[in-house]
Amino acid sequence: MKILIVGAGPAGVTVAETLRQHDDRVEITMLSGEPTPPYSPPAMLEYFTTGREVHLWRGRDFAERLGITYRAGTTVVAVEPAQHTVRLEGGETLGYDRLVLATGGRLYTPIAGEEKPGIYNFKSLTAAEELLGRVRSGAARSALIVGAGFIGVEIALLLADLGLEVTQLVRSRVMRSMLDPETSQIVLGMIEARGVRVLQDDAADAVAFVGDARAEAVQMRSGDVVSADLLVAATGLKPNVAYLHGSGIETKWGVLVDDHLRTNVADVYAAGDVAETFDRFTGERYVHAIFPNAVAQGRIVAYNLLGWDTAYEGADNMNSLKHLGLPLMAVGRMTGEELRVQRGAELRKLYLEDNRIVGFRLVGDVSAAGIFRSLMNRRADVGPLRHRLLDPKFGMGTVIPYTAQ
Amino acid sequence: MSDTFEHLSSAKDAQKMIRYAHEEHIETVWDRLAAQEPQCGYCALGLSCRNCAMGPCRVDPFGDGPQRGVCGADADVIVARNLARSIAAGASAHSDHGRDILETLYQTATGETSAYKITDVDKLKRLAAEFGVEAEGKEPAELAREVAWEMMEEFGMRKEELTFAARAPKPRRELWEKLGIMPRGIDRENVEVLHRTHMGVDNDYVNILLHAVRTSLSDGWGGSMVATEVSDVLFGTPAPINSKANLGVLKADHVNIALHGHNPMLSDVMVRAAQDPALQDLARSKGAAGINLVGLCCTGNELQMRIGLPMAGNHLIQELVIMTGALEAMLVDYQCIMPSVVDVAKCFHTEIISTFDKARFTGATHIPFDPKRGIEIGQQIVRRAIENFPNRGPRVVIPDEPVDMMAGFSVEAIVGALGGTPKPLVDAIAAGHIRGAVGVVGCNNPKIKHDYGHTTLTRRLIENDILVVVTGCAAVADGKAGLMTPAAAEMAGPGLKAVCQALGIPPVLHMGSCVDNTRILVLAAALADYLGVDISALPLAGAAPEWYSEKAVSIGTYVVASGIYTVLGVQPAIFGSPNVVNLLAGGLNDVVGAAFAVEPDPEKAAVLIRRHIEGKRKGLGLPFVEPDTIVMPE
Amino acid sequence: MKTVFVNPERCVGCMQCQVACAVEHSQSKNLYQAVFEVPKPRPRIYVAPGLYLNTSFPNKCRHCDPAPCMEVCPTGAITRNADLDIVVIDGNKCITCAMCAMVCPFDVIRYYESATVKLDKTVAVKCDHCIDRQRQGKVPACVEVCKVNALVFGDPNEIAKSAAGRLAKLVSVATGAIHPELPRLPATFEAWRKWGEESGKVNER
Repeated sequence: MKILIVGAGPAGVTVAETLRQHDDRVEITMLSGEPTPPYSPPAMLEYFTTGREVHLWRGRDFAERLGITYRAGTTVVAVEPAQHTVRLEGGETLGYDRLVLATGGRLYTPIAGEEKPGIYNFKSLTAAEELLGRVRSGAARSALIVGAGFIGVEIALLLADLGLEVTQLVRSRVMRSMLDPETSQIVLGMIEARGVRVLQDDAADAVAFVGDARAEAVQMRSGDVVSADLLVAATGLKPNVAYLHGSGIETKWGVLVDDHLRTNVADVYAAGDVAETFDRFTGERYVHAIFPNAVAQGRIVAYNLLGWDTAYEGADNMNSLKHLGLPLMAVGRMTGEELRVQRGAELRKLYLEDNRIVGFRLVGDVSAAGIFRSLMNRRADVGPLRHRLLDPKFGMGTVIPYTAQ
Repeated sequence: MSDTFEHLSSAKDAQKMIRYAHEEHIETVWDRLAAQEPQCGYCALGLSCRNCAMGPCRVDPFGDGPQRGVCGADADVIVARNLARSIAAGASAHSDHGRDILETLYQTATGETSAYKITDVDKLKRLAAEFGVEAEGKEPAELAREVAWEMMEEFGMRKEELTFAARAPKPRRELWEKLGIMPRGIDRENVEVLHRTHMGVDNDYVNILLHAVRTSLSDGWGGSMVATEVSDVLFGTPAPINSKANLGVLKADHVNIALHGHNPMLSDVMVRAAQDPALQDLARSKGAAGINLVGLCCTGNELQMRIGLPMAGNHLIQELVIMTGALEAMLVDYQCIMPSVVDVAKCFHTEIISTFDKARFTGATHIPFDPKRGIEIGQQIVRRAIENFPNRGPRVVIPDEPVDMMAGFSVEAIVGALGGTPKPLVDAIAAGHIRGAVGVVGCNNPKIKHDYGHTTLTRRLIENDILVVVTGCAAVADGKAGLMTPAAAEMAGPGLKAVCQALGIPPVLHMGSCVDNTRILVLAAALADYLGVDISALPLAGAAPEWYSEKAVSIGTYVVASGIYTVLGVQPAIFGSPNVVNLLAGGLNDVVGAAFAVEPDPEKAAVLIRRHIEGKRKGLGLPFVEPDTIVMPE
Repeated sequence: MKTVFVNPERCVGCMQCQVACAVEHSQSKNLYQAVFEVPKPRPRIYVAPGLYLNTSFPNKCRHCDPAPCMEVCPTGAITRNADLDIVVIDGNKCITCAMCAMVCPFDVIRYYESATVKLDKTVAVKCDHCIDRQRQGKVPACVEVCKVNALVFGDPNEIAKSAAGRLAKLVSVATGAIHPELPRLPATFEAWRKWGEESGKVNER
């Protein structure tokens, strides 16, 4: 059996590793669009700030160790399911028995001029290297980040730490999709305290990247133009699906998959940021591009490839931000009844519906996060524990006797 | 955590202030208890021993792990030694307090201090008779000097029996004699506890506990009684007086000074200093309407009993009172003063002023009290407080309106109210209008909802025609709850209500501070003597629903050793030894005619006590209800 | 493969396991020196308060398989030691992203500076089942100091067998055939426990 994995991010790597763990004969080929060994996107910032190669999370000897064919710098331009082949840039075709699409996504900003050169990205190592190269060479002394999601904030903090004058455009509020207004406001204060200039509301209502040959500034709806040496698009994430056009593989925002992560086309699977799956809690279809989801999906794909009929439980809607100085966690929804406690700089908020946790936001003190998440995912009735959930010492000592009763 | 804070205190003023503390991130005793949880089970069970450097040791309560310390002491010996040391600490606290007062009486008598005077000469004469001092033809000062001199020997080693022990009924004294627990010199008993609990001395848990009981008797019929009696001589024997209680006694437009602790010596002076017209003028010149002194804990009780000083609150209020932002100074003497008051005060303008060299607080202002310059020091402190008034912050939170309460029921006052003899009370008990009497005493403890134990138990008892006498934090709790006015008779059962209304007294009588539990002993002895029986035959009980302190361990022990059944709301650290538990909760009945019970639920404690009282009534041949028919709530 | 088994009903909340764990993971491995070390040695077992006073629960890593923390670690810092079946964190690879803490259903991962990690920051720290001690043939430090058998080290199958034995005895009591050797908790100990629950319920009224 020949398995072809397109993409060497966490999803693709997990597929390969899981397959090899259980089957030492299956033939595995992995294609990476980048010239490096597999790397871990969440660890890139650490690599750039400290030089520690922690992003090469599976080591430089990944391919040899697993006994797979690893082709770096290889881009797929088309998939031909009828022939069970893919076509590479340069014309070469590769055959497969089973195909795994794990091509990830990229940051983007959906405004005019987004295709111009000179707009930097941070989703891939290559893109990030290019951006950091400009900083290190001294060519860039200022940066403008369009967007204020988790990645946008991380980039802003990184660049500020590297000494750039950073401006961040926050059109509504920081990390709007993941944070409630109050937590969002706290994060805003923290990034400003780190030296990031924040433009908000109308002053942040970007309509176009402007510049002649290259994008050099961002124009606002008001007509104001804000320029910077580095422009970074970070409004949202877009799955890399362009190469699937005409393949018959159904895509919407990302590649549509069923609960076994199969596409509509036989023998083709998708996992990671390219796959449009469903929320484990709400069932809502979406792409929640975080590392743990990519790994979990990679494992499910591998199990199914191995012939073990395994359904996916659904994606987690969660994230954590590490570079703020205070830990921050955002998990699940922000709807229903809000339980809240503030202790100095710490803020903890839980969202309950019918006495069941549907989400939480923690700033500063992240203890019991895993327990909250576990109670949430099990849809446990926390009614009798309500008044204890926000106790500073809420934890296993509280939950175990309660669940044992 | 519930944001109403009703689970932490049943007192409205406290609930509001705890919420305020929470909002302002000011740490309180409840936060620190939560931070301490879980508390060490070995220690809570009494099974850890740090008495020597072969240790520390602990015994596995389940029997699988180590069953003996390095020295070989088993659970029984370790628990008994620890309990004995607790009792000695409590007895020492009361007795050292008594000694300080006694020294002041002596200095007053010899003229070394002019800050005090002999206020109750009649009491002095009665004491003289007890101590074998001839009163005839002597000036009060001379008599006081001789009485004080004799009384000092209560602390010494020449006596085989404390003089005050003679106040106990004869059968009780004979019992103590027979058991070898007749208290001798106060200091001796306490030192002997430390000796016996040193490694390799007393290695028999029953023998250790018997001596611990003796030590507690040297407190109740010794050190504490000295404190009460001599305080009465110096400051006056309390008589019924109207007062007010809760945080509402603070006045937003006054210079407020809280008097906190247990020893009223300096506070008595403060009351006079605050009346100084020059200081009153100074206060007005700083924009204050006047000077307002308020009491806290037992120093507050001492002053409330004698002059009706308004009472700001009990033990768990001490941090909250500072948070009102209206307190210029908190004057502290000793015992039960949390080190944390200094930290809370840092968030406000309040100055914490310590006054005893034996009780200093890092971060507080120390103005050592010297009875020889008493009034001068008092004025100095009042002046400091006045000068601190302009430093007050903009936010003053006085959470409630004060509640009326009555205080001042010394034994003399109670007997006085009865017409000079215990007979009317005995008759009312005999007829069953009043079923019995119970002392609800002791501290606050954040493990029990603040004041809930005291007030709930008191309510259930008076509803069932049981007269309640209170001291210490319990008195403050019941006062704040409105149980201590003559009008509160309405809350009592019909029999007690009628008696209270006839006498114009509340159904809950304030008998003073925690050293004043000795007044309860004296009252119990008087009733027993009147009936010609031992105290243990009487329909009486004690309860400490919210106790925390080692002093309370000593009190509970001397009360039981005096023959009064006592229900504790909080567990003492003895549960690691079934033998000790069985002895204290049962076996003691056969030894001293009373025992302990532990019950955190005041509703259930009330039933335990009612059953006990009916049992005692039955024993005396008085009309009774069959104890077992009183239903225990679920 | 041996593991640490928890008998929560026996935990008395003395926290000695916490102290022993911190000392074991200190540089000096000596209590009196450890308290002065920088960074401060930290425990990896946490004695959590129970629902009521006088109850507690010693909470530590269960070394799950599959281990959620291991699966979400974006740098491969969390791995499973094959011979002893222990989930270990290489702090030198940790980027403090907190994903592991977010998915640990037992809340046993904390972030501290660690003497074995030469980075000027906090990293994820959790129980390593005293892997060094195990290699020396010793039991984990927490088990060694637990004098009440709340923490027991052994083969899970053996422990389960003896637990099943205990259960069988309980069942025989329930059906009327009282077993003379039933390892009941002492009545006074149960009274101590019960006070905590009762006082808690009274306070919640």
